[in-house]
Amino acid sequence: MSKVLLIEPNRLLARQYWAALEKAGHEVVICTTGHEAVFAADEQTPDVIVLELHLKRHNGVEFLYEFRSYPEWQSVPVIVHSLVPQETVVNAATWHLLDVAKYIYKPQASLAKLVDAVGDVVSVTAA
Amino acid sequence: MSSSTQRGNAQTERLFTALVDQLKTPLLQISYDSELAHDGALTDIKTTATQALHLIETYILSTQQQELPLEPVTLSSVLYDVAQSLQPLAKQYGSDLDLRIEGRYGPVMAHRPTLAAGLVTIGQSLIEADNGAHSSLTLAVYKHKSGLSAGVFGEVLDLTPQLFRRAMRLYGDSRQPMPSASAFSGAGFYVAQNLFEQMNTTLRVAHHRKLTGLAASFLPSTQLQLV
Repeated sequence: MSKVLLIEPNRLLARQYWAALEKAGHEVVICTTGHEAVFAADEQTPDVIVLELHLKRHNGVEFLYEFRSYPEWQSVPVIVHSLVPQETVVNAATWHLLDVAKYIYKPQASLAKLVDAVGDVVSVTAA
Repeated sequence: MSSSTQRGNAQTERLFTALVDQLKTPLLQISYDSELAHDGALTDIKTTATQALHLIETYILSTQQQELPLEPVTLSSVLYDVAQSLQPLAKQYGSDLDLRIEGRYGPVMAHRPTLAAGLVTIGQSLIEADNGAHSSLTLAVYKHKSGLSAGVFGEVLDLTPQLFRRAMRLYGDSRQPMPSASAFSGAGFYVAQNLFEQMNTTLRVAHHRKLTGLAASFLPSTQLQLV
């Protein structure tokens, strides 16, 4: 069972992602802001983070910069799962720098795709 | 038009785009709920929500008014992807999808994601307009005097170039700009036209093998010939 830290500001969407991921056998912790997520990760380091970029106060990119600044979290895989198209945010070099494992654009992806992505990332990390 | 009116119009358009963008969330929720229910009866809801999300995406894309970087694109491979995207909606309406690629052609200059989005939008609008009245929709690639054409065709589509041009002028002013072709607003056609214009081509009413539909032409890529 993998520990997923889900950072999603919309309560209804968070519940749906939680349901799909828990059904696939993952343990999911939900946070609505980057700030909450840092505290949650401090309590228990997740196996993978699923991150929406549109967050309150600090956006997902700012969270990632902060998260990656902590040595103990530099290898935690992050899946960006966002309403924002990838090409409109930052360039590919920045995503590479922030070590984003996958970028999923929500309007073009099903729940199954998210679950598969988490499964892929977790299995690569475990190998 | 005064500058204050122009600013007002621009602001209204931005507000509208922001509102449209906000519709993504409730549509995603609907789509996800139908997925979580694992109920075959809800598959139609997911298909409908996906169709609506696609229309939103292509509308937002079409408002960006940009000149797109063109690259060599193989039209047949785009049509395969488009056919896959349209399959659930076609099934929902009881329409078959036919893929017709005549001959082997080299790549053309286009913007692949925009081309695919535009063709899917046309396909969705034609499927909806036909409403299951006829059995099939055809995606075709063929040679045209202006280059290579890619389009979506129906068995019986009561559409002429004049009607289509008139409809393009009526969008925004009329609820049914193409009443002979569609009972609905067919906003997808208007959105697709804007997308194709970003690729320096234009959508036109076309006839192909006794079928009528909408197609656009693209110039062949000459890049490979330099090698």
